[in-house]
Amino acid sequence: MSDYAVLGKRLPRVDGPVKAAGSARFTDDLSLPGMLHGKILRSPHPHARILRIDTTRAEQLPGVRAVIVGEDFGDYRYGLRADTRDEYPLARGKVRYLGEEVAAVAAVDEDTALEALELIRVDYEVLPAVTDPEEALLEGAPQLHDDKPGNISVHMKTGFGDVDEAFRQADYVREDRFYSQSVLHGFLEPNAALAHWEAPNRITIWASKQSPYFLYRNLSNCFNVPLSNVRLIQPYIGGGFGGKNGGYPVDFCAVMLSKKSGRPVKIVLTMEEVLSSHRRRHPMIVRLKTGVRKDGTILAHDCRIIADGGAGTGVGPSTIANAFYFLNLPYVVPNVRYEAFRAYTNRPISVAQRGNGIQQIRYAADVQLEMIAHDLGLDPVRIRQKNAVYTGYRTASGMNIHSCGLQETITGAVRAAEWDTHYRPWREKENEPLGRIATGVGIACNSFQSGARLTGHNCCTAVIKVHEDGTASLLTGSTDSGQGSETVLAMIVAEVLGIRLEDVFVPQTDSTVTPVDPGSFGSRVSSTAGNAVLIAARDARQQLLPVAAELLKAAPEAIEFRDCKVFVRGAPDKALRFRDLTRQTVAWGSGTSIIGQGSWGQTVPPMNFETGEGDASGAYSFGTQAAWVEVDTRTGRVTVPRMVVAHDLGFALNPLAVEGQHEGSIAGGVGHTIYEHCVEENGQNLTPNLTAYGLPTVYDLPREMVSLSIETIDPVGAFGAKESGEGTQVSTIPAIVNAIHNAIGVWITDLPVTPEKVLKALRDKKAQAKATAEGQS
Amino acid sequence: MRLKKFEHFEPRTLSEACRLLKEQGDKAALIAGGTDLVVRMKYGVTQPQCLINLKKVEGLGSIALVGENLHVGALATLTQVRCSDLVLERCPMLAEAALAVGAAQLQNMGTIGGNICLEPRCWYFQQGRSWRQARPDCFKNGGSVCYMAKGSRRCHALYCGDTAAALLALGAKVRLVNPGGERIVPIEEFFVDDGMRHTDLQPGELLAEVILPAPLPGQRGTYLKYRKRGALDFPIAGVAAVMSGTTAAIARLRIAITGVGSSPLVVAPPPDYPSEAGLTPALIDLLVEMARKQTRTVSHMEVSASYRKELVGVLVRDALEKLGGA
Repeated sequence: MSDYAVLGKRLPRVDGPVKAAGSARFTDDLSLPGMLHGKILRSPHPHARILRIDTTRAEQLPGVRAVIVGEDFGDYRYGLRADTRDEYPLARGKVRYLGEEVAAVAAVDEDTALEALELIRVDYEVLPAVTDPEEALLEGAPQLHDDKPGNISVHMKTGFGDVDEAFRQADYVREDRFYSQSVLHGFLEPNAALAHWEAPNRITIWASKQSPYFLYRNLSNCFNVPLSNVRLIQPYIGGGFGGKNGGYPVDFCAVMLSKKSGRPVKIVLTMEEVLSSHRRRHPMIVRLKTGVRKDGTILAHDCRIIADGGAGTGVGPSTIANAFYFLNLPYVVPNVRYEAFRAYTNRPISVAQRGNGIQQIRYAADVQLEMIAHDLGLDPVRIRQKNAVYTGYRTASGMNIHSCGLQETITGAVRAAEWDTHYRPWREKENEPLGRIATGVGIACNSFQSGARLTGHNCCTAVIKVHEDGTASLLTGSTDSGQGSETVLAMIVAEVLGIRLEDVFVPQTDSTVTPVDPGSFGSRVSSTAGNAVLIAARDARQQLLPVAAELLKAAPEAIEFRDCKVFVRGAPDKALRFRDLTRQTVAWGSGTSIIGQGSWGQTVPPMNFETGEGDASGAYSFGTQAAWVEVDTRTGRVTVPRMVVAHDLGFALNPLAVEGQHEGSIAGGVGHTIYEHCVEENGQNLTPNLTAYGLPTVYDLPREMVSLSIETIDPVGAFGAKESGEGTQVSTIPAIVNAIHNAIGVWITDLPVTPEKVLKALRDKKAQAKATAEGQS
Repeated sequence: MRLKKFEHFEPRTLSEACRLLKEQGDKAALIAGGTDLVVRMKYGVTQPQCLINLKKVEGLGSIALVGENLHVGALATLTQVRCSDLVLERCPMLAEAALAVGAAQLQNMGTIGGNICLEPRCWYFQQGRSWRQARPDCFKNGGSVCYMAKGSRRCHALYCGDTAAALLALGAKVRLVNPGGERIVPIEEFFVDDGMRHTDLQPGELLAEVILPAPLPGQRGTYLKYRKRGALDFPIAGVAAVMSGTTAAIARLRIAITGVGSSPLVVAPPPDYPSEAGLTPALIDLLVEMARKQTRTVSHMEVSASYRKELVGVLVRDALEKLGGA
């Protein structure tokens, strides 16, 4: 595969220079003549009935041009599916979480808009609130939605194989409870929208969206305008991680305020609004029972999940289904049973976040596997090798593995981690006194969907315009939210047409111009949009071929495109410059514009959210991570000085971009494991700023990060590529938690791993050992 | 998060600044680096109607020897302090403490005077207006409740200045200037254990400089800070320790702790301790115990009172072991 001219090279990102120079324009950098500034009024209560909203005084304030409330949107509700549409652009009748949007104002400047918010009077009848998902499911709990009794937002119950029989056959069964806390996406550009309504029914909106076409459909429905009249233009995005997928109140309000005022309206949330009221990762309680043979072979999982959904459903059904799918991977699990409740609570809405439900389940399952290995005196590497899935494997639930380098990732990670030198089982260490700094190593494996199979729109389309000077434009609706897909997709075009990366321009997503696309989520862009781009590029080349064949007097099959030249294979001097070909093509015959087009959807049938049967994707990535930890046994502080990511990504389209993804995964995973937590009190977030919330800084990340790409050349993905963006964050948590056990002999089953928790666990362990010793004497 | 309107004064002399401060009374706030004040103003928890900007006051940022003493002007930035040859030569631990504040950008803007006077903090007080509207005001915002210690009749906001601990351990004095003149007081008398009003500054009075005595023979010190992350964060606990003596015997030993109460506190060995024996393990144990006992703190966010006391013990031990060369 090494004969690619562009692909597989460590090419810097095309958006790097403008971002580094600060000249990349984000939504807040934009303004239009006559533009107004919007602000949103939020609920001060986690649960309350809205008795009355009086906006009169706000409307009378000089400089205020529009004030809107929930009624302005009629009965419009939005959500993933028809049966889960439970979110309003502005609250109707009730507020269901502290910080929920209640009203919005547009004024000539931000100060006036803020002043106007204070003049809006809302009378509330405060209702009892429930902020704990287990309590929310109890009888008698305060109810959030009248049409969703029992506060059940999503319920999934399924199973494959004979779990009870497997437990009877098992030599060892253990059951544990794990908790993964509330963490935020942590993007640095707050949600923002600049909207312009042109009467009678045309919308133009610039919004920070990683998946702009959700909002494009939302706006069409909400405002009853044809899709052709919704022009959504995507400026640069300051990170998304799942928190900029759909339409949010900020978008709907900007459009409605523009419609009402007749002027363009920009709303940029404050970081405080984002951190306290915007979406976040699902907190989950995972109860997992696992049966194994005494050699560590997994026989069955029985898993029960309670997920905290917050006040709305969002993409919750996919989160709950994902947790099930990846209970089945990356280890062979012949029998599986699963029941999950996603509970409504009076908290901000939980959605997808880099891994969408899979981190939580793999944290539980991989730490429990480590517990089992410890209990049975088995080697942690060998138990993973023993259970690892393989090419050709089909899960009990019917997921099909077409390429799998899991074993190679284990080997690679173990080697890079110098595992054999550093690893000593805890059993061998437990009678030695703990030093002030205890060290340990841990390992965990992962799998992920390479392009989530969706029930609705799956297809990516690419259009390539070849310009007469030999350059090309790639029109795609797949958005680069910072992951580097713009560069990678442009590289595919350059490879196929035999031109340079800098010859390919990828304009911003613009729903009037670029093809409709599902968006940047579920690790789909490189693999799914990549295939669409590959087909489009081949289509463009195909259109150029007859002209080239004619000019070179050669058979079309013998012609190659490379290094900005078109030449006859085996006779490199029979060549012409690519730009001469494109120039001549324009004038050829009656004249031709070269426009290549390609579409690619999914190779597997739609997923079934009810039973979880079938494939979650056309391809699956696999990987292994190894972590070193140092635990200060006097303060309980855990640091991760070194971490290895070994990932089967099929093919590394751009190894430099892959490294960036791997390092980002480590940062996100270390944050989730050790540092980040939305601390709340009665539904109020006490950490609504970046000082309090505690995203890790560069000082808190591993000093050394090793990134290994294992290439298995997947049959589905473009050039054999699979995802390498989300799967890599799936095993970060268990690798660290397993390493902590290896260092100090305690299991952390409740995230985050705060120093105080570690210290308490050490104390409890000591007290228990003492009690045991006294009991024996 | 917009600022309310305010008047802005730029006095050229200290006496002019004091006069303005006295005239404007409660309506005024002093601003130097602004790294603490402006954040509070944006939150709307401090709403001065006028700012008295000290930036133009002549000579207020100088770092110079006056006789044996080192005078550090209140307007000296934390970067200037930590890079000053005089500071590094005579009391490097003050540089250590300045380096521990926030991050480089904050050290470039923030001043030592501002760091000493840093407003006590808590996550119930330092929040935006809409956040605070969701619950009754706390003491510090004009209410009658402290959310850090429910049922308490006082404010328990935490004093978090890093440099104060170093200055306390070093035995620094502060020069306070008022319209009628000035006074020089030991820095421990400057602090008050009250989250609402944590300094002894009188109306119209401001902190002009800190005065560090000449280092004693064999003086060495250290500042250890425990915080959540490797940068940016305020101390969960900060411990400064200074010891002097040219032989094994201890001539002077002083410890100061910050971040655990509404004012920093000083821990000194009891008067009758056997100083000639040096920094023995028994003395370290004793001081660790004293420091833990003197630390009276409350739970805040995810840090319990008992954990904070535990940390103080660890930091005191580490600091002393470092000074003892262990």
